[in-house]
Amino acid sequence: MKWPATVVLIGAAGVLQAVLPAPAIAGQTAPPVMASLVVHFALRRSRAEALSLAIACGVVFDSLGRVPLGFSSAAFAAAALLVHRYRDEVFEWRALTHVILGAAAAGGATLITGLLLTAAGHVAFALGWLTLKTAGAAVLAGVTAPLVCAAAQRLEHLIGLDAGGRR
Amino acid sequence: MVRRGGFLPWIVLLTVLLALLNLPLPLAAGIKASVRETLAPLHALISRAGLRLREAFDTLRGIGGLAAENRALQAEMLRLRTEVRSLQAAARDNDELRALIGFRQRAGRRLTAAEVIARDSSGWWQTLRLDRGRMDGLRPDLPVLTPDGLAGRITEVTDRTADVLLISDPGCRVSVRLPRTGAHGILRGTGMRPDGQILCRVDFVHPRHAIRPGDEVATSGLGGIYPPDLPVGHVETATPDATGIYRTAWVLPRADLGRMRRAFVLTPSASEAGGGR
Repeated sequence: MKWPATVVLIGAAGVLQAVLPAPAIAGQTAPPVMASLVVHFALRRSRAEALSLAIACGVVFDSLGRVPLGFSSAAFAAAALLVHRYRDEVFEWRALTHVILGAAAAGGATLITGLLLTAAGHVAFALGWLTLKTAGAAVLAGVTAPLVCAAAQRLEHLIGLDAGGRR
Repeated sequence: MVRRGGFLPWIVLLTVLLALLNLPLPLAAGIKASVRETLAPLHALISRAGLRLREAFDTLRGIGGLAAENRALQAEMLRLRTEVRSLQAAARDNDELRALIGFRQRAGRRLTAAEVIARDSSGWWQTLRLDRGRMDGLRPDLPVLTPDGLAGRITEVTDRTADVLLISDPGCRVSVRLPRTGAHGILRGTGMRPDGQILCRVDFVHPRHAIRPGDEVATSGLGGIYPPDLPVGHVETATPDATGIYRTAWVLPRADLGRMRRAFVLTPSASEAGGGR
């Protein structure tokens, strides 16, 4: 039950992000649902598991867009490592932890993807645009991450995945 | 860091990541298409639900203005009917003249209606996805229109979806002409500005053509992808380019590229598709 549910969760997150509107003021970045899910995995699962799931999230995310396969996996893996490293530095109010880690993960993942795309010649380097997108992703993730983490946690609770709590 | 499991899991993960980044293009495209196809039904379901929700919201919001909107639409319909009648007459004259001078009858094209089910969620490109694909006769390089004007062209298709590169993307090039002056140029996108405005630029316009704000821009028919005379937009401003040899015109697209919900794909007629050109 655990893996099918996780696969469905990743697929649904990818589709949701693809259909959500991307505000121009945030550098046309859609609310980073997938990066928020990566944060959730990094907070709740072992490091190796979080990394594997981050790579899987990247594959789904890249498949639903034009980003070459593997770019988002690398970015999400780095974000998962970052969140896993600092997941014990929690705030008393849990949602604030999600806000800050979500913003850092989504901003970092957007920055890494942008740099990879620029280095590979897929997009032209534009510092202003990259900054806007990174900041936009971070701000949007500040809203999205607590919601996605709460929803994913609730779902895992419903299907009995969180019996062991955090690993 | 690597106490219990040793280095093996990390080496495996790194290998997977490196393999993903270096997959041969056809294999990567195959994996992407499979994932997209698998998620297509869910994609269509969620986006249709969103569309209906938005329409319901728009209906509720505009309920007070329905009578006025109805009157305006009736007036518009009357005007369009008149225009269609005059265009039909012009088309008949045109056909007769073509037949007289032995021109090949231009093959008609079909319009395939599609709904926009997603946009590029990464935001690095100006693309969108339609809910029609190879099974509906779509293929790469077919032009995509809105009732207002040209939107872009299809770049990738799966069985049930098609990706469209919009004319606002910096990677999209369209050969255009300005019917008033006869000037030709190459239109390319410049992305979307933070205020949401979309402007395209037309490069390589010869300076002997006096371009004015408001001039219409249409496809030239050169290049083989877009048929001639599809409306594209109108000129906002024109400036000399960096070399000083040509002029650059800044064009506001007619199609509302930022808020498109439906589109039409210009598909070749059966005779064209079958090679009967």
